[in-house]
Amino acid sequence: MSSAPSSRASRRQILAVGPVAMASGIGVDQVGSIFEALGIIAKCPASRPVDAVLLAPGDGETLEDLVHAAQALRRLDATVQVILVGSQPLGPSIAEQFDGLAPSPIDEQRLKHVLDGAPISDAPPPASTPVVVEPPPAQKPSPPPAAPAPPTPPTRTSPSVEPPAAPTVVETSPGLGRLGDTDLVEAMLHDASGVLPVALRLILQQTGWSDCNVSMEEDGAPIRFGSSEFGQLVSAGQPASALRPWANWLARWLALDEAQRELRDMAFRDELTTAWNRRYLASFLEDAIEEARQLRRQLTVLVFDIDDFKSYNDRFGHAAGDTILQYTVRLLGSVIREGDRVCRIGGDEFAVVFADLKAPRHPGTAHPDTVEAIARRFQEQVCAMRFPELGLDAPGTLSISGGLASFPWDGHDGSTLIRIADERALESKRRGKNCLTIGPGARSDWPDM
Amino acid sequence: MAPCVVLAPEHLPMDERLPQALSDRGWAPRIEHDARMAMAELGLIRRELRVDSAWDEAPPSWPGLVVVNARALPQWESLLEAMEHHLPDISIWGWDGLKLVCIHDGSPEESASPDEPPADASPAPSSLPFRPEPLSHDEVSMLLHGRSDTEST
Repeated sequence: MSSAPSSRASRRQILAVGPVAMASGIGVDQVGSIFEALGIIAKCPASRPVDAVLLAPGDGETLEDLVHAAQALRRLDATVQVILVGSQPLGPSIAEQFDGLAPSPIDEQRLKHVLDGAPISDAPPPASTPVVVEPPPAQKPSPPPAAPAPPTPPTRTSPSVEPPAAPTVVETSPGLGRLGDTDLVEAMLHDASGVLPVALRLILQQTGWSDCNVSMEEDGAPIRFGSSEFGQLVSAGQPASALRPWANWLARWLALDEAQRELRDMAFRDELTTAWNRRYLASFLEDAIEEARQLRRQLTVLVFDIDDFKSYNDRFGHAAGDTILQYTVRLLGSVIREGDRVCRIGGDEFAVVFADLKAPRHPGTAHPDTVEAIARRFQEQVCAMRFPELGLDAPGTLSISGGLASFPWDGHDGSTLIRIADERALESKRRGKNCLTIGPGARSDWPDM
Repeated sequence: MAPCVVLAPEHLPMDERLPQALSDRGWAPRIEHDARMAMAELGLIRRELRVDSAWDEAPPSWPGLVVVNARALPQWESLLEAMEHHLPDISIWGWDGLKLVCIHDGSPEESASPDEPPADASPAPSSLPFRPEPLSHDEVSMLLHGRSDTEST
């Protein structure tokens, strides 16, 4: 089961195909056929994409028809969530073709639950028309397996907490919206916010509590693993005795999450500057381009190096050169936005991926909204940098030369964008250094369609 | 050559004359056996072409949908109706065994002419709206060293 990027959660254009029974007041547009839905998605402007499509079998339609419909919707827009509405029993191979399953009639709360994973306050679904998912053949029907203890990170001592007794976690049931260990591992590996949000949602699902959170101030049950403290697990009205087993369970996952992040940083970060490395750049850039393609957003790569960096090394020593590199990355980090990435790809050569093109650095602030403006701002600030401890007091002693290349105008894959940006950086050198060479894409918005 | 989508029944062999007829029209076919996939593919092609045309990379010709044995398609009416309503700029053709027969004449001027870039595809401005925020040396020093020049001296 796939889940949509969280950035899409705030949008809400939802289409319903087939006899989808809905409670009144839900903002869902009923359309006559799957072809109508495809037409709307094909034409919708990039600023208001279709967020989800609810599919219900019409007269004579089989589940296979709906699977084909889901595949067609995803081919046109891979970010659309496709939800199957109905009460027919499904095998797991069918269920996993959809992003979620919902009983009919569907109300707003259940819709939010299916689309966003929002908890449902009245936990049991309506008994009249439940969605039934047949367990896969290999799955034991009962009872659900106990939560496996994640392996102890190698650098840690044995846990001082008692093993989790009460919590049991079922395996992920594709399409049901029930969370399991697979979701936790997936969040750990792929979600920028880590395992915690999914773990908290899972606790709510398993316990039926109205809320639960991790607090650094309130008293609850300590989340502790070895020497690591993660705060207190709190839930309104729940005694510490009820919270403790879940706190212990959560502590293990958070410790594993932390260890995994450390390993990932070691693999993908440049040790000197803490910028991302070339390996990360290649991976991130391909993913970012794919997302930009699906969301019809532009993406720009800046490649630059520090002019005459060798002379700084020769004049002040390699330690001074290292300091300059560290300051450059720190300065760049203050200029870019949250979704952008700074990567060190050579000695004094850097690549910046401007992937978050619309979001300002902080809500409510007005910042330059084109990549060129951001790059030029950085260029100016580099010129203004001073290094008193190196004796470089006068501003303007440091400069950069760079080039920008943008998807989709300059190329459709990462290596092409980097190559073109690099060629433009060389052009900047030929033009006398301390300049940026820019293609048309960095200055323009993707046209609405 | 512009891409076109050929919707043909999976169980029937492709007419040998069809590829030549498509080539004569400047079309490179993408074969689909499912009407929903065909429409999704056309939506993608149209989107790509609109982006390209917005940047003056006009395609040599606009894409089309070619349907083989349309009457045998159970969803033919729904497909045709949705295409005419939502993607009217894509022409629809039938294959009668000898030649292509126009079923719906795409009218690019209604929405998406490859020759006329969309209104919002304005050329890049000659002068940029960039106005750097004033940044004093103290601010830069604070940023880099965590203290202002005034404090350090």
